[in-house]
Amino acid sequence: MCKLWTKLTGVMVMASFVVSDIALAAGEKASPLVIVADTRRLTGWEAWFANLYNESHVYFTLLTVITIPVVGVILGLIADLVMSHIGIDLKSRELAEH
Amino acid sequence: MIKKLSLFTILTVLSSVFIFACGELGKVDQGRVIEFDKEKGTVTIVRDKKANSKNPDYSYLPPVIYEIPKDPKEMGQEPKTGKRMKLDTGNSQIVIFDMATQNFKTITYKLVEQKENIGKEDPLVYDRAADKPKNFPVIDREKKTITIYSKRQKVLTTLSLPTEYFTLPDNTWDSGDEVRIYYKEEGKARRFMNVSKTDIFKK
Repeated sequence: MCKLWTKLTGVMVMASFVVSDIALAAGEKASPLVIVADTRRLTGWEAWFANLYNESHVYFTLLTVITIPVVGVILGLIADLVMSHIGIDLKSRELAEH
Repeated sequence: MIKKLSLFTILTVLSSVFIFACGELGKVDQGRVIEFDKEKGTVTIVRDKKANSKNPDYSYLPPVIYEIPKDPKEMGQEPKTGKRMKLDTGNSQIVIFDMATQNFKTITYKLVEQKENIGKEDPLVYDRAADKPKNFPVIDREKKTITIYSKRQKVLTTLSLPTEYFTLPDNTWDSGDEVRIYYKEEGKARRFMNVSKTDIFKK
């Protein structure tokens, strides 16, 4: 119980430092960092993907987060297929030790 | 049950993203700012004709007017205006946008001094004590000279012009900020980026 209270007090002290840091950082109001992807010379899917970023960061993030694992699975399956064709068997193993 | 639910959620999110993404997306425009009216909420740019950010060509006429985004989160730093479109050091010519004729004007100048390969943090153009860039152009109305610094060309030029040009406003000799606009409807910016004042590598 005593340990718990010590930890809680420590967290509160650290939090107070963080709050004061935020207050110090709140100086002159800066303009937001706005980025527009340059799609003027892009065509096809590249233009579409970059324009999706310009349209909505939320949708761009969602699509990226979903696309990466899907592409990973597809590449993994292709690698599996290639390896089984060249004779590398990853589905079973024989123990060499006796 | 949980597996079915998570699969259903992923499929719902994926289909909604694709439905949204298949809709009509906007276009991007880029140019140099010649006028900015904060009260009216409009910005006038001379479009980059080549669409090549490394070697721009500000020669598209007429100038294009855009309404700036109403949402302040979609608007970057306010742009600086300027009428200098090109500094041709090889032919000793300067191209400005003339507001009276709404056209470009090419002026041949007499070179006084030129220093090349001047980076943006060179002591000649950067005040280390104040930690900010020095103000350019420097206009000397007595000597009839103008000193211009071009960050892109890395050149610091002092040139001499006929007396008649010294009645023009100071920003005639300055280059306006380069801005990039995302729009869906002609003349209405949905997102506004000040390329000249945005350093994505700065913390």
